[in-house]
Amino acid sequence: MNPDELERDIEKARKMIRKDMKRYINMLVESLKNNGADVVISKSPLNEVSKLETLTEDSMNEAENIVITIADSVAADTGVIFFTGLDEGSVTGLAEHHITIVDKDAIMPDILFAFKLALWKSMKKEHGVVFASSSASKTADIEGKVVWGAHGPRKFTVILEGG
Amino acid sequence: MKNVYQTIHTQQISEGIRKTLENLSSKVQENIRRYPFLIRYARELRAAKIEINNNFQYWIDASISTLEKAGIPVFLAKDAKMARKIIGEIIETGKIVVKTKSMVSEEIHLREYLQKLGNEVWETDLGELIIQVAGQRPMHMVVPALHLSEKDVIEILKKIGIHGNNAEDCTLKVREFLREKFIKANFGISGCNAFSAESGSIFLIENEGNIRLSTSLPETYISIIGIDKILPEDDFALKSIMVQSAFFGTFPPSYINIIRQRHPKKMYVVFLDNGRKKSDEKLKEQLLCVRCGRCQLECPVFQITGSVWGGDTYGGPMGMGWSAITSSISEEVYLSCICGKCKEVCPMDIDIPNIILYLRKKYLLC
Ligand code: SF4
Repeated sequence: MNPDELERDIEKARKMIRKDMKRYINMLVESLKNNGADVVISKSPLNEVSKLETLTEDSMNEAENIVITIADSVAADTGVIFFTGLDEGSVTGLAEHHITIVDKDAIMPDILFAFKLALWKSMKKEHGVVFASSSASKTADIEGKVVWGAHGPRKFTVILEGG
Repeated sequence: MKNVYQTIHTQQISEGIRKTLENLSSKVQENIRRYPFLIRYARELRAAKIEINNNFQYWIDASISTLEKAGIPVFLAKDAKMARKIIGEIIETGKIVVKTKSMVSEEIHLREYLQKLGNEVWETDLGELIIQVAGQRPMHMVVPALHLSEKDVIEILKKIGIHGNNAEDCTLKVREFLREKFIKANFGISGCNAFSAESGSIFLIENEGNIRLSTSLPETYISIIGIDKILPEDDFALKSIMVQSAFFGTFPPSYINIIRQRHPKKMYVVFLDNGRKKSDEKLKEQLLCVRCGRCQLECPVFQITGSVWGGDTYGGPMGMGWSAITSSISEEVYLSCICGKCKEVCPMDIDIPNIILYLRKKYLLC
């Protein structure tokens, strides 16, 4: 798909969202919670980030790290959040706590559209990597017992621009 | 068949499968209820895969051409031996390799081969690492260590110096142990859940985060792609990974990784045929499989035998067709009770009982 086609599709999706923003935000919050992510809704996401950083630093040992990202896109129906970048992939994969800010422009109705928006953004960069997270890292490989933080972040917090 | 008969008396296998089925069955139902579009996606995917199956060479050429245009070195291996040779020549010897769980790499016995060449090779999926250290074969495609108890795992991990007290402690200690390997690794190797011929993108799903680290941290990354994973475009590849994870029981997956390029780091792609292209009409139906593992867990025979029932690599009902395609027809096709449960639960509507009946006839003729 070329960038122009992608842009056309993205614009179509944006119109859908704008028409019914409240419903899509509610759907997104429900999906995120259903996936086990911590959700914070705030008019000023950056203030929330500094609050969370202080809280996390107090409760975690010094060696553990927090990573803060801006989401490239998010699917309202499933809560899947897309990012771009090879280094971003490894940095978020190595973190103990991944905090991500989702602004309203990043909301798309579903995964197919959310991927298109992230892909379109990635085309401007050289690396060609798109990745997505929907929760903290987990495994149930030993007797089906769920353990968080198998290899990636133990905590995944989404700060959603809203109010 | 001797192994299968012995397995029937191993209660731990049936117990592990029962628990996994109980955990996941309601989740699959919930996924379908919550995301009804998944059924439509599976139908669309089936149609796209039939088109690919009927024109394999065209789609292989299209995929290779997309990757070459992007400057990515790409190979087509006609069989397991050739795939091992290609990858062995890239990696050579004395390297640290981190691997993600992949059925194609099991199919070509890649880990053992790379170790023989003098490399340090680590499975990074927790279940698969346990199987590697135990020296066993995976008991299920997605949950390889489902037959092992917490106590077994504690004992097995001691072999690599990990002394955990329970599931959580073992998992976190494995995290620490593998962190060092991820950081030092020269090569990362993965399979591929779906490949888009349009963009040359490799789509991978997971919950642990080991795929993200294996594909992004090492200087060089190699993806091995069964040609059955080729799909015409990105939308289909996304739909494929959604169907696969939802019908296994974990949706959405915690992580999706989509790799088109890795600039400035290196990557290689190895397509694997290994009998897929020359499959006859009946067996081609098995190639529509997205490997969700659903038919395995729901099968009454698999529930008491696990993957011991099947061929070298692929076990359970889907394993009958896959083994016939990639190695040979197993005598164990006669152990199926042809109850039809596998067909009933398969999102791709694959007529597995029909494939098994066909393989029985073929086995007799052979
Ligand atoms: S045959 Fe069907 S149910 Fe079995 S693993 Fe393949 S897609 Fe899933």
